[in-house]
Amino acid sequence: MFVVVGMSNASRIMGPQAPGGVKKATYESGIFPETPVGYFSVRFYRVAMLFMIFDVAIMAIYPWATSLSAMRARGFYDGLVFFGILAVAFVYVWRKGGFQWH
Amino acid sequence: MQYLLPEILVAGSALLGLLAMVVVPKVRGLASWVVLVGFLAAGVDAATMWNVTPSLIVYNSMAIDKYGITVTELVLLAGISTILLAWNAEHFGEEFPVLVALSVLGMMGLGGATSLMPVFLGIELLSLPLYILAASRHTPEGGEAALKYLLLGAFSSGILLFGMALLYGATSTLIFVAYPGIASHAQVWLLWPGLGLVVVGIAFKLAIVPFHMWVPDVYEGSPTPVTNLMAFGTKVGAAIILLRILAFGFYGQAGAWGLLLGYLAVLTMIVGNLLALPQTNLKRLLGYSGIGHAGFLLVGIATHNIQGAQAMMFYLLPYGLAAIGVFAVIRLLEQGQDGDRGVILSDLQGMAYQRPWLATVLIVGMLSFAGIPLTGGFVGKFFLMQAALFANRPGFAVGIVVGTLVGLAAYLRPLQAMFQRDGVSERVRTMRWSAAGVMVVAVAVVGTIGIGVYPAPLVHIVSQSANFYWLKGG
Repeated sequence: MFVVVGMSNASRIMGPQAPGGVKKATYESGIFPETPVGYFSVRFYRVAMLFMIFDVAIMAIYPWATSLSAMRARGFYDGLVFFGILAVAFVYVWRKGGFQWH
Repeated sequence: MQYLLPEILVAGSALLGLLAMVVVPKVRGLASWVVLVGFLAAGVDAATMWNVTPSLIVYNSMAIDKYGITVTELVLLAGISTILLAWNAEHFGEEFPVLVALSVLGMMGLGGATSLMPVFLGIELLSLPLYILAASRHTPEGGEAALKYLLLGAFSSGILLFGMALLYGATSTLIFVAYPGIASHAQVWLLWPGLGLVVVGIAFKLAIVPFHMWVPDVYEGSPTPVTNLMAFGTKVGAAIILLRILAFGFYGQAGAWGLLLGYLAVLTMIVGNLLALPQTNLKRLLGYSGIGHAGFLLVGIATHNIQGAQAMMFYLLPYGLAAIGVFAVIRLLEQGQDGDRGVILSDLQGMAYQRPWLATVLIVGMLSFAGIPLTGGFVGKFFLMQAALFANRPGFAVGIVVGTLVGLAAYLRPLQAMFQRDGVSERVRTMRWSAAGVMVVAVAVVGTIGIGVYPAPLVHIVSQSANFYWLKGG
């Protein structure tokens, strides 16, 4: 415990200290943070949400595919109904311009 | 599978409406037509299943019985009235009818649910479109209403889900109609908290008094057709599933939950109607009145006898008809000048002389809420009191009387404003009739007075649909 506390404080005590400049700015993956932020663009969230929704929906297809042999034709057609509902949602989002950035 | 055809028709109409919107965007209002036709077809199809032998389908998680069919017809009535009240209202957004259809689908699913899985799915499917619909007017009040509804709805869903998890832990099955058979070797210390949390979760949706805070703001901020769906459809769905869970799954423990729910019912009736008294905004008044009526419905569940179940089923229709009548009046008044502002009591000034027909609708609706004879509300309250006395709980009956008396004062205030002679408000002068609105008020008025004068057919229907043979008669 002494070693841990000592090591973690050693750099703070012994290291060179030069505050100021860009050091105090928020780190944002190499992008210069724009200040002040008046509003957040909703575009990113929309795309992320649509990706999530269809991604999760596609996830449901994996167990369906692996257990097709057990479920026979009935299970196959039930899965197609699911695809159909998904396709309607896809067409709706597409025609509404949900996939366009601007 | 053919027994699920009403649900499939409503779901299909929602999908078709969505497609119609993007494939032929030039035809305005096509989605409304598609959803309306889907609702009517589902209603006709559900009615043809009336004499089907009761059975469990979908791995014992859905029941086909008269109870579920009655619920289907009630929520379809709520859905149709909502679509009609929002007819040609393009500023609510094109998706409006589709979202209404999805919400109604959730309510229909609740009607037949015999397992906790469709209960949760139904409540979520009912709520999620309503969160969006509450904000569809694009006003700050609408946003506030939607946010409040979303946060409290998500909170109550969490409580409900936790309760279901505990029930599953206690009994290791989600099919609640099987609980009485396995109650003897269930984990009792998990069963009771689970039941309590599930009841609290549903009580949020039903707006029982300690959990009613969200109602007035949400009712006031939402567009009037949406408020209509919340007041009628949501209440039907939540009350129905609470009765089904308690009467099918926990009738052995009725001595414990019956009295507790009875106290809540009396509290809800009195507090809801008392808070309705000082309201000046008509939709807020209806919000508190909805809380009060949730108390009346809860009496039917809490008495736990066959008369109580029937009285609750009966009460849903007159309450709903009066609600759609009054909401239609508000909607017609909003179609005049200054549409986005809420209708307040002084806006009704002079309506009885300037617009006698519209005033008649409001009078019938308010008197039915208050429980005046010759309206459906009176017969409903009469049956509820009868059930309370049969259950040997005179305290519930006293609660109904006190709640009704307080409510009477609250419901007469709009009528008093309406009969004021000095001047006619701008709202009343500029209101416009619409064909869809006339249809809704005609059904509401004829239905309310019809049930009040000749209740026998409806009594016959509810006595068949709420025929839980294991409940003791009076």
